[in-house]
Amino acid sequence: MSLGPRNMSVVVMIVLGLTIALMGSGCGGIDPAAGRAYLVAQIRQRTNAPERGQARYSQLEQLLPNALYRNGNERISVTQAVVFGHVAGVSKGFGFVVGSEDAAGGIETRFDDPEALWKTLHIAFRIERALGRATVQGGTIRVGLAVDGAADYRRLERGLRNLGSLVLFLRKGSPVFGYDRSLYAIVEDGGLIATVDSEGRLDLPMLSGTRVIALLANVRTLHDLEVQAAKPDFLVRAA
Amino acid sequence: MTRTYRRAILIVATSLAVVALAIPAWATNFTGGNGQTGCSNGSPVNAADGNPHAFYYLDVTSNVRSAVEWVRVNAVEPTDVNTVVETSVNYRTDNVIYDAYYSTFCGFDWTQVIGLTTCVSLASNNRCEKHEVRFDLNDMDGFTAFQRQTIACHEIGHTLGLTHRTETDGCMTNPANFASRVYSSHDKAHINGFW
Repeated sequence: MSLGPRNMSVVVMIVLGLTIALMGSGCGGIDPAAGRAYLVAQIRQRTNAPERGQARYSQLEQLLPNALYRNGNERISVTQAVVFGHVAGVSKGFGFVVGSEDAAGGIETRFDDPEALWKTLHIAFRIERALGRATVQGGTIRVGLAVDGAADYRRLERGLRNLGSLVLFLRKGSPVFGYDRSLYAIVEDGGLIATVDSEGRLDLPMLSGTRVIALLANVRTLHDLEVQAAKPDFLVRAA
Repeated sequence: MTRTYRRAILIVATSLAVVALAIPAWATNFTGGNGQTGCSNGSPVNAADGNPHAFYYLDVTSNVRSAVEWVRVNAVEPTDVNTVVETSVNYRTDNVIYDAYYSTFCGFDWTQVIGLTTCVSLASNNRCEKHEVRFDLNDMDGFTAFQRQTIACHEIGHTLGLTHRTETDGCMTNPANFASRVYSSHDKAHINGFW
């Protein structure tokens, strides 16, 4: 096989074009069409930013409502609802500023306050099916998501609307959304959002690689998760 | 294989190498200076701008201060980074240390969080002018001295430009495994190479 000078020029142009495009995107940067890559980058950064204690669960099925943990004399689950569906709408919540340097939490302000250190989004999530015992079985629920103060709302909104079919692992009563007790929070500050592809396969794009492998070790599809959710309650032993 | 075909392969290989070099350095758990501020800058983190690395304690409990001091002397000083403790916040201050019973600071649910390092201002070279390092007393109060030191080592590591690792040697593991209160040889190589 031989490339003439003209074809050679074409090869060089294509290669340079691809190189510039890849470098410009930061190898995983913003996807301007959907905003999905921007959303994923924002949430991944947030879920990875703080130092967390060891989670009581290591596999996804241990996050279902039938997975129980000892809490003194009680038996509790990590989640109050695990739901399959899609994002039906996104709206602005509130911004939060801190009143003093050693503040434990934030003071509510308007969403677009440039001084906001963080802000919240409110997601309308349309439930197609609830998995296992749950506080909700259908309809639309409201889910809160906290993001950095400087995050771009439009890109986040586009990203959320373009995530497709999802499984959300939800808990009630997060202090982050204490201003509205009807809001559910996503476990690990947004980390436990599972995407579901057209074949029913699960992925956890908001978490890093090794954790994803561990969490999906036994449950790789929506069907697997539903099978697990239908089982009787079981007690998860401490790791 | 013709000469032109070989040249085409060479160009493709060179281009791929250029792309590989463009992958951010934090892929190896070190960022250096990256111009990041805000609540999520623990990943990727922005390294402090100064050597010596200056600490200031803002009314912290004796337990937390002891833990950070242990790390400053026994984990940071043995690297190429020198340290100093300031008596007030000034232009040299790199780390302001806080502790509190945190609830929602930075929009995180602190029932699942032990510590957080954020960069609050940038130096002219895009490195971090001042970090705020926070420890949650809801957790720290119940920890042993060794466990507190592992968390302090982790958070101070962020101010030096280190990010999380999944490997269990050294204190930069996340989630916390409380196994080490010093930096691994891998972490130290990053620190010494940068500072």
